[in-house]
Amino acid sequence: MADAEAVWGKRLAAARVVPAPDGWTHAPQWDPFEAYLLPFFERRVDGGGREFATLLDERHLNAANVAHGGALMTFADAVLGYAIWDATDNAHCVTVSQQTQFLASATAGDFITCLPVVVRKTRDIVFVRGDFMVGSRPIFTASAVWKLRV
Amino acid sequence: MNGDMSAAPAGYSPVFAEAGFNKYVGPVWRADDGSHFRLTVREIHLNGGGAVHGGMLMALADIAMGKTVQLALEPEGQRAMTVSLNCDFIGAVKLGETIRTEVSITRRTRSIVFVTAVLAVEERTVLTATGLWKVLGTGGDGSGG
Repeated sequence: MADAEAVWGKRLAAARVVPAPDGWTHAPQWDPFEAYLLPFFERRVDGGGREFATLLDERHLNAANVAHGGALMTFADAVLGYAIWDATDNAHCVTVSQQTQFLASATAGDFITCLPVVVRKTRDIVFVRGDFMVGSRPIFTASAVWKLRV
Repeated sequence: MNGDMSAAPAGYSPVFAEAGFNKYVGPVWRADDGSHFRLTVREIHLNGGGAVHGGMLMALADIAMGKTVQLALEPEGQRAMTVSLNCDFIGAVKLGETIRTEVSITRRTRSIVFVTAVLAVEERTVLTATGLWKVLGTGGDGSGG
């Protein structure tokens, strides 16, 4: 597998260090916006994939003190992108379209997890989706189309 | 690192930038005549490739669309929340560029508001979005209505 650091350059330090919960490690972050906004955790699952998680804090809330759609969509974009990297040997790729449905609200202190699924991969396009959970409660779901840069 | 409130452009007001997400990533400015919203790209908005992160573009759409819905419902004392947002990424945006967002409400029913947005840098469209906002208190949302 091509080294992500060689593909994307120096990994970034998070704007705020949030300790990883037991069983999770910090995923490397390569995008300034993600490092600025989101704690980003990962763990290996049976079968070789990665599950991802974030922990909401006051940076992610809207005026009603629930998670802002923008923060959740950013987490989804990050998770789905990492799933595509894993499926494509860290190919350069960009989001073409993302559909997000907001099912229930989340707030500061909620630990959101996602085990993304690469649904189909063609030469140029990857279809990917994920359900985002707090425990067993679905919070939002996202599906996306990504273009591989060839 | 947070938005510099002293840099308010003439004729614009910030969109809820007192706290939380909008303060941390913004502020996003709304034209006082209601015609559009704007955001000038800072380094924190970028991805590893030097373009604006897709999450920030979707966030900008959500902020502008949500504010537009809020202002439409406010006279009747109603509120709404995003239930669905679909975004197509049409072009990249670079550091220092100003993104202009125009929002329109396509249809408003008793319980749902249909909204579209176009994000552009000068004449170049960079993202289009369609979304649904649920009007709170009209049943089925657990808000007691």
